[in-house]
Amino acid sequence: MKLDKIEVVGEHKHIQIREITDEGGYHRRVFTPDMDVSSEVQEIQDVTDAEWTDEVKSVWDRLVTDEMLTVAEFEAAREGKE
Amino acid sequence: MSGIIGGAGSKSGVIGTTEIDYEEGTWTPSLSCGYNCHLWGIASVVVSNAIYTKIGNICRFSCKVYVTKDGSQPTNSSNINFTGFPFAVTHNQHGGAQLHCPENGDFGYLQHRSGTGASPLRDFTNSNLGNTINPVTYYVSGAYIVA
Repeated sequence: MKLDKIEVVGEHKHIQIREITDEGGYHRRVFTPDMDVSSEVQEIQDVTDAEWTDEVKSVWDRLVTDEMLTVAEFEAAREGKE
Repeated sequence: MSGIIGGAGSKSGVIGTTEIDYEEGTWTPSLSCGYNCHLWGIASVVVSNAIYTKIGNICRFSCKVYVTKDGSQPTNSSNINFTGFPFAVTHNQHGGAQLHCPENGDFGYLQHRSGTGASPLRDFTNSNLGNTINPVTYYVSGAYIVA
């Protein structure tokens, strides 16, 4: 697998990468600011280091936490109706 | 629209004056437990045949999920997070997917609940993953709007 393209997407700085497989096709992955990229190639780590500031990570963590709360509230409400 | 869609991907076709944005490839799905989910009795989950096609800002995807149980306990598979999608999703954009098991006729869906963009489709609902047949295969296909 060979890294082909790195894109920074959206206000939450998702790192979207495209790789070329051994067969010559495309393979895609997306990294979000809560992910561990330490095992990825240096080019990807360089981009995440530059883009994922403390503020970006903080905003993202808050969004994920809010979503988990929303899901929990949704499920609790649904279970209450059943 | 006055243009002709010729060979998508070959860049020979245009719609009006806009070049077709087309790409296809593979992705790596992964499953994990969400809120109040219990994967009791699941011995293994193998996901394969994961492919996508992106045309414009719509990404269509599919994959096969093969589940083996150890038979020890029943499984509550509601709220299984399904992640690893090939493109980021726009905040608060929605997507959906169907999940079908030809072996037992089980049918469910995946949905994007609130939209942080981390994983556009992240919940199996109305399905009991591998509850009745062991092993069992699910086929998943759907679409979402990319960022």
